[in-house]
Order: sequence, then structure tokens, then C-alpha cells
Amino acid sequence: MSLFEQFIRAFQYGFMWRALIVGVSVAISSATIGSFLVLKKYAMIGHGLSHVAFAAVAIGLVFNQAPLFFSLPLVVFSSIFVLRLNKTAKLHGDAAIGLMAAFAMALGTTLVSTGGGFNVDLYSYLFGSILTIRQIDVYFAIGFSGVVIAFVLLYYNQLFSMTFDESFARITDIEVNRLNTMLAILTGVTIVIGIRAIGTLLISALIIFPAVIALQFNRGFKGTIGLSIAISLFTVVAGLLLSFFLDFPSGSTIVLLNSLVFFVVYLTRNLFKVQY
Amino acid sequence: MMDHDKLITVEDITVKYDRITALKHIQFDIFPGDFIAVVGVNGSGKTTLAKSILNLLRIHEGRVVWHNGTKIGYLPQHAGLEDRHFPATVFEVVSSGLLKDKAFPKWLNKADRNIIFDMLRLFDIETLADKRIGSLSGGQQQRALLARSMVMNPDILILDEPTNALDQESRGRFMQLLKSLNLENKLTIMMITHDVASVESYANRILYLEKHLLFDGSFEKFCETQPFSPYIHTHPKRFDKKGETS
Repeated sequence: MSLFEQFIRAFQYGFMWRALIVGVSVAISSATIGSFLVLKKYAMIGHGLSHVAFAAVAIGLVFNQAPLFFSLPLVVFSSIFVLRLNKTAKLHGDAAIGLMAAFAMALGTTLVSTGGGFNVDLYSYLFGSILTIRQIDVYFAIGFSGVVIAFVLLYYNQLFSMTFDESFARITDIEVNRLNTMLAILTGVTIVIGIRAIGTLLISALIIFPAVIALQFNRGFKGTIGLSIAISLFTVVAGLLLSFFLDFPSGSTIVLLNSLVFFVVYLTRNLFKVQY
Repeated sequence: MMDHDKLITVEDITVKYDRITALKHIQFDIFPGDFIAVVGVNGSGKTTLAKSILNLLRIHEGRVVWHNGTKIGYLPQHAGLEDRHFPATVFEVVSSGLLKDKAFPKWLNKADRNIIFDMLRLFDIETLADKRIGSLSGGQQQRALLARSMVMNPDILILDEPTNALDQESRGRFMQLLKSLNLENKLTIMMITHDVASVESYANRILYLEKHLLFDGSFEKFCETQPFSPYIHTHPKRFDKKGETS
């Protein structure tokens, strides 16, 4: 069978369409939110939250409930919690994230070991599996990524001002605390949308990689976010297709593809002085 | 003076960081047209005072009153430039002074763009509009950040050590720019600096801070009454006046 025929065949399956729709939704929202998080030096929040998502999935599996049902409130709550810890300065932000990630991982692992018989299920949640994406996940992904996009469009100017210079944003009466809380909530939501297609342990990569790659290009703020979305879309769609053809886990394929793009861009820019 | 003549009143404020007191019972008014230099050694509370006036800190006692909707512009010490690779163009940075009420779908309109480009022209950075802010020289960056505040059409501009990172030539140019904004645009200025000599020919008022407000008056008076402040001995004027007798 030619490559083209295989390509056409991929789209004859309903699960492939569902995976692509979820993938595109995750790609857009994670790249958008990720650009702000990386520039605000909050990139590791995504990493910490993905561990919380793992614990939430474990809880869901133990109680035989839909993991996403547990994940959403738990991850969103943790996101706001870490942001607050960061602000009070009683605990260093990165230390707080480290504590949260380790605690959540320990809790999740303990729950998994007591549960015993759901290892295959768990594997698909850890690294993403396009076969497990249901119709409800598709609606969920479209709905929430719509919220993320609407938020960024509505508050783009305020978000830019506060990301560049928080003090200045405050004196121009921008409600920085409220926007930070919104950003934290939507980060949590983005992590949860990505659990099915990318997996809890790798979703944080999709928050960090596209933004970091886009930053290698010498663009302004709008341009950087646009590029970040484009890179995210390309790696997610190509990664999903590759994972279908090669029978790899979708999450790891997407992250490897992101890593490849990053190294190519970074090396050509720094070794061969290519100006993008 | 009547209250309505004042822009800002600092009413007996005390500010603490945990248990350390940064400012004690500071009280003064800012009047339209003032060019105030706030001087003091490191840790004397200069930046804390600026942040208190800007409402960026919790004030433990007293209060700061902005009279009649006073609009304040601010040039912080490192304004977003700790990250030299921050992906923002000069135009984007300057436009952030106008962004507060510009929610989707109300983006910048033509009038806004005109204001921004007028300001870029005034500060001689028009040709740099599409360049990344981090790629500019120190002097150009300061002018871009000044333009960001100026598009807000502020009544008063607060600057925290704005000339620190500048070379001698840019420093002089920047101070001239401030002076002309002060005289021609009637912009009130409050500038924090550790170098009192640099503001001699610009400021009409010196506030000398050492957690308390030790002095509030003209530069001449400052030289006379504060001869032992850590600045004056490095200043030539002091030697003119006191050199022969000491």
C-alpha cells in the first residue's frame, strides 16, 4: 500500500478524526497559554500540574470513575494553589511546584499499586492513546479550547502588558491578580484536555516546547504566539499521524517531534548562525 | 496651597517589610510642575517610597492620596528587561501604555497609532518601532519605556534610577529630555537617584531620605543644610563653599 493510500486509510477511522480534533484543540490552547507561562517564568507549573493529573487519573481509576471527572477540579485547584504560594513568597515558586509534583506522583503511584489490575488503562493515560478518545472527550476539548482562545482574545492587551511588566500593568489599573487566577485556571484546563491524546506525563511538554521554539525566532509578541501555535499544530498533527502509522504512543511521538524541531532550530541558529 | 492644587499627598506613611521598617512617617505633597529628586543611600527607602505612591505596596500607617484623578506614569528600575530576549517590539511595548481599555474587539485604532508614532518620533525611536526592545541600546530602551508612560498622557512621571545603565552622553540627553517634558509639557517629575550631582540643574526640589524624610527643599538649601550627607562631599559645589573653612 502506498504512503498516500495509508494516509487516506487513516482518515477512514472515526478514532483518527476524534484524535485530530482533540489534538488540534490541545495544540492551540497549550501553545497560547504556554507562551504566557514561559515568559512569566511559570513554565514549570505545567510540569507540576501534569503530575497532579496523574494522581487524579489514579484516583478516578481506583473508584472506577471517569478520570477526567476527577482531574478537572483537582488540577485547576492545584494550579491556583501553586500560583498563590508563589505570590506569598513564603515558599519559592519552583520549590512549591517540586513539592506538589512529588506528592502527587507518590499518591498516584501508591493508589495504582493498591488497585492492581488497571495497568493497561493507566499506560494510555500516562503517555496518551488515540484509540481511547471518546466522543465526549471531543466535545470537552472543543469547548474548553474555545474558552482558552476567547480568554486570550478578550484580554490579549492586558495579558501582554502584565507579562512584560507586572508593576506597570498594575499602575495602569489592569486587574493583574484576577488575570493571573484566570491564567492558572486555564492552564489546569489545558492540562486536562491534553490527558487523552498526549498523556499526563507528557502534556507539560506541549506547554513549554512550542513557546520555547517560537522564541528562537526573532519576532514580536503577537508573532511569537502565532508561531508557537503553528509549531504546536504541526507537531501534534504530524505526531498523531506518525503514531498511527508506526504504532507508537501518541504523546511520546508528539513530544519527540517537538524535541527534534527544537534541536534543529536551536542548532542551526546557534551553530550555523541562521537568522530566522 | 489649596488641596486642589496638589497632585499627590503623602500623609504620614510608614511601610514595613516583615519586621523591618523601610519608611517612617513620611509626609509631603507633590505640586504640578515639580521636578523632584529623591536621594538617599541604598536601602534608604527610595524605591519603597515610589512603590508606595504607585499603590504597589501595602502601607502600614498613613495613606497616599491621588488628587482629582491624577494620572501617573512610571519608569521602573528594570522594566521587564531582566529578560533581554523578551519577544516584544518597541511598538508593542509603547502601545501597552494605551492598552488598559482596549479589550477585543476594540484593538488599537488609527488615533491610538498616531499617538504612539508621535511619541516614538518625539523620543527619536521611530525607526526602531519594529525592533525587539531587548536589541536596543540602554538609552533607546529607556526612551521606549518613557514613551510607554507618555502615551498615557500622565500628570506626573515617577522614575526609579532611570540613568543608571546609561553612558555619560545618553545620560545627559535623557536628563535634557526630562527637563523639556517638565518645562514645555508641564509634566511633573519625581526621579529617584543616588547621584545628587546629576540632578542639580534639573530638579527644583530635593527629598533626602533615610527611612525618615530628612530634607525637603531646593538644591542650594540642601548643600547648605546637609553638608555631611553622603553626597555632598563628592560634589564640587561643596568644596567651593566649605572647602576653605574645613
